[in-house]
Parts: sequence; structure tokens; C-alpha cells
Amino acid sequence: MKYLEALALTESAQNYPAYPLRVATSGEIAPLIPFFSAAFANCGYRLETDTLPFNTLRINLLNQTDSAAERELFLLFPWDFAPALNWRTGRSGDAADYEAVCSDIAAMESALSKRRNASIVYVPAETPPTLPSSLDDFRVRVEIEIAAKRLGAAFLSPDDFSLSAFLRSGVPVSGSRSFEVATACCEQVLKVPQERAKVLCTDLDNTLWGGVIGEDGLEGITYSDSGSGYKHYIYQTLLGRLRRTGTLLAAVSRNDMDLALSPFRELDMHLPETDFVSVSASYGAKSDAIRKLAEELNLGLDAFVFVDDNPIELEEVRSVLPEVRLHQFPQSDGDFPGFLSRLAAEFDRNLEETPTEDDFRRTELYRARLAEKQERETSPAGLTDYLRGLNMELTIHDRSVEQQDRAIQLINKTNQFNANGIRREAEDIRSLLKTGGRLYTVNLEDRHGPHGEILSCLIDRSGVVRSFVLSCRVFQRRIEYAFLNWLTGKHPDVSFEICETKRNEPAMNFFTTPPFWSEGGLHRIDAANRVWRQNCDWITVHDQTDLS
Amino acid sequence: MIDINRQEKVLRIMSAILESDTENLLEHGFDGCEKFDSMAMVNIVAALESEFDLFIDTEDVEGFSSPMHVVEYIDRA
Repeated sequence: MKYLEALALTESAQNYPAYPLRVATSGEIAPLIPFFSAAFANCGYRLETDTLPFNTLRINLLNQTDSAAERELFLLFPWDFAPALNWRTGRSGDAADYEAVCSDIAAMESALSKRRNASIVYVPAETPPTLPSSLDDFRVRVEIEIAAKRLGAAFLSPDDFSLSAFLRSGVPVSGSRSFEVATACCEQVLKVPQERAKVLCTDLDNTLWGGVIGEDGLEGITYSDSGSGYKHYIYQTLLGRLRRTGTLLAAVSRNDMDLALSPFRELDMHLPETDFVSVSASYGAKSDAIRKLAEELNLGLDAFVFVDDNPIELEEVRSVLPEVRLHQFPQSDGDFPGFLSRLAAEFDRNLEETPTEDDFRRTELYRARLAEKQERETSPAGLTDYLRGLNMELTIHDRSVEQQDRAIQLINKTNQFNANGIRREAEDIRSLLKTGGRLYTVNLEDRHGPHGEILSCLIDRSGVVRSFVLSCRVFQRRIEYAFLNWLTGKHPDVSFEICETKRNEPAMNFFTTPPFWSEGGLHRIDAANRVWRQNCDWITVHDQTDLS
Repeated sequence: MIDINRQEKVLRIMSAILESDTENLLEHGFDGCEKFDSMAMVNIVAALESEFDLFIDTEDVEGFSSPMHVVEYIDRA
């Protein structure tokens, strides 16, 4: 888009809703603002910008400890992470020190990671030779790209940087690329954050293995690390790695069940049947199978990724379940590396985080949950009798000092039974605990075995519960009632920070009905009307908080 | 002969950035614009590059002493 068109488009947006945005970059940004305004006008907004003075980005970021309240866009270049790489100001007579540059990168990453309302766009522009060797220059560029990836930045092309314009006037983007860059920035700002993918549903024939089991038979399919099966073997190894870091695997196949299961049971597949939380085989629509699985696992459809080699199956799922993310298993070997990278990226955060013990056991836990659900549905007795028969035992731990990984993970991953949906950095939680707060978790065990830590409760020194989350694996067991019985005994004046989100209806239903009532922005419990006691008297509670 | 269409576009760009009408621009040049400074010139150059899909050298920018110089430069480019 040319300048005058951008101007006209911006003028036409005068009555659009305002979108306040701080556009932060170290270069001269003013010439790009008309294009930003046009890009936002294209999306139905009237942009109201605030910018930083030239070359003040780094000092602004490093000197501010609080995250800005307003939306921020950071349009970053390599020298924003490592000032020594700046074409205009970074060069001195001596080569830069590699460790010092890495320290600069880390400081910038840390400062940016604290900006909660920030969207980041990174331009991997060429940099001048600055370090003692070209290898060091390369390593630094890679370090910066890794930092930008960790920050969730959208990457633009190196060609979006114009050295000529930058040297001439400090403007990092040429006039001819301004609208494209502004549009990419706008898309990054307006992008709806996707839920973390939790379930990978895969087709079987010509996907998990090569060939069609119903036609080629056990001897005709390929799946091992040689010949035509190699691709499928590599795919299976990726799925195995994802499973070990907490991703649930499910198979959805257009087949008879005995045929679908036969390769797992009769061949030496890399992935055993027990690596799958569910294997669904039928001749019905795959969207039905995925929807049913989502209900059974109590997970949103936006947590699902579906892989199939057949574009028609993918289209069927897309048309019925648009929330599900789709990937086509490629026909050609040339497309295979890109497919694997994109698929792995869907689960990136799972791989980057240190897996907890529960991550390793997640498939096992969900398989137990599904088995238990089937048992419950076929049980002739009522739900209460069924729950009584589970012999549930809760063990409550105080994690205020150590072993906090799972508690923090629960707070930051749970959507449905989450009192307010607020995500909390480990550092923030530890700060709250240092000032007298408490972090409690609950382990559940029943006659099916241990379920791990399934509840996390963060309470500040004044008795306000700042986070209360319960794993969706154990809904409807009345665990929340049993825990609150205990909690109100320990903290009689407890109150709760409750906030409705798009996904926390189960928690809202619980916290907004008697004996809860709202007062001064917090939810309190009517201690004289603890009607829930009768709802959970079959659950045994072990208080280990004095021993934790 | 100056291309009228290009001239009009150049003047509209300068007029928008300098917040001055084109008659004033042509009559009084940059001196007649309160908003004119080096930053305004940076914005004008970037806008011209976008509008006419070209790159303007620093030396040429230094020669932009009046609106008509800019019009003539773009007409030649």
C-alpha cells in the first residue's frame, strides 16, 4: 500500500473504535505510523499510538520494573537485544566480548518477558561483524533468535530491514515495505492467543504407519526405521517424545477396531497401544470421534491437534470443529521436515518446560479416568454411591517453600475449574509466599491408584485466595468441597478472588452460588451454612501441611 | 514538463505531513510551514519512497530546499 492510500484508509477510520497502542522500537518510527494506522483501520480500529523517543527503547525497558498497563508492540531488531550490533551506534574499534553480549541479550529477554501486555515482532536483520570471530557473530544471532522465540515473537524477513534507510535517518524499514511490516505487527497485536495444545489425534493408515491395514494386512504396512516406513517411524518417535512431556495421544481411524489395534498388538511398533489415551476406530465422521473424546477428557476442542494424510478427512473436521488445529501428513518427503517442525511447534511450551512427574504419567492418569468414566456410566448405583465406592483419599501439602513446580503448572495450565484465570509467574508466586502467603496442593488417590497433584491453592497473607484451580481430570468428584472444608478450618476468614473468563464456567458455577457471597470485590463463605459438608463426607482428608 | 499527477501526489504528501495547504507550500516554500524540521523531512522522504517505490539518497535529500525541488526530483526519478 502506498502512502496516500494509507492516509485515505486512516481517514476513513475516524469513527472506528479506538485502539490505544504503544509502538516501541529503537529506530525512528514516525514515518511508519501512517501505515500502522492503515493496517489497524483494515481491521476495524482507529489506532491511537504512543511512541518512544529515538534510541531509548533499551533504557526504557531496563529501567521499568512494572509491566505497562496498556497494550504494547515491540518491533525489535538484533541490536535491541545486543547494542554492540547496532549499525549506527554499536561499533567501536575493539571486538565485542561474547559473554558481555550474551549478558545483554539475557537482560533484554528478562525485561521483555515481564511485559504482560506486549506483542513482539522480530526482524532478523543482518548485523555488522562485531565479535572476535564470524562463528561468535553467528552464535550471537542464534542466541537472539532463541530469545525472541521464547518471547513468542512473530518473525519477519531479514529483508524487512533497510540498512540504507536506517543509516540515512534511523528509520529501520524502507518505505516500500512499511505497510507489510505494519500489517504483520497489527496481526501480531490482534492475534487471539491460542490455548496450549494438549491432545494430538492422529490417523493410523498412511500416517502412523505406511499402508492401509485393512487392505495391506500386518505384513504389508511399514513402520520401522528402514525403507518406506522410515517417515512413519520418525513421526512415531516425535509422538513418543511429546507423550513423555505431557501431550495426550489419541488415534482416530476409519477402520474396524480389531484391525486398528492389530499393529499395536502384533507388531513391534515404536509406540505401544498404552501410549494412547484412546484409540477410536469406526466408520463414522472423525469429527464425531474427536468431539466425543474431548467430552470424555473434559478438555476444550481448542486443545486438540489432528493429523491425517487425507485432505477430505481434514476438511470434514475443519468444517464441523473449527477450533481443532489441523496438519496434513505429507505425501512427499520434501514436505516432511516442515510438517514435523510445525507439528512440534504446536506443543512447543510442553517441550521447553521441565516435565513434572505428572506429565510423564498423564496418559496413564487419563486412561484411568476414561476407564473409570465408563465404569460409572455402566454402574447401576447412583453417582453418590459410585463416588463412595472410589475410596478417595486426599493428601494436602503445603508447598510454600519447595516442590512448587506442579502447583505453579496447574495454576498456569488449568482453564475450566480456575477461579479467576490469572496466570502467574513463578517469581510472582514466590514473592507472595515470601510475604506470608501459602501455597497448598492436594494429591488424590483412589481405588484405581494415585492421580498425582490435582488441586492448587495460592492464598496471600491476608487470607485472600489468589489462585484456586482443580484439574479437569477429577471434576465431579466433590474434591473442591472436601478441600474447602479443610481450608475454612485452617483459615476461617478466607475469601476468594473470582473472575469470569471465557473458559471457567465450572468454577463460576461453584463460587457464585451459596454458601458463597460477594462482598467488596471478593467472594466469601457463609461459615454457618457450610452445606457442602454432606456432599463429600466419603472423602478422607490427610493433612500433611505441618510435615511439608 | 512536470507530470501533473506526480506533482499533485508529492504536494499532497508534503501538505499532509507539514499540515499546510499546497497553495501555502508553493507560495512560501518550507519556510512558510511551522511544522517543517528535520523530522518532517524524514517523514516526507519515507512517504515519497512508499508512494513512488524508490529509494532516495542522503545527498538528494540534502538538496530538497523547497517543495518544488522535491517535485522536480520525483518527476525525474
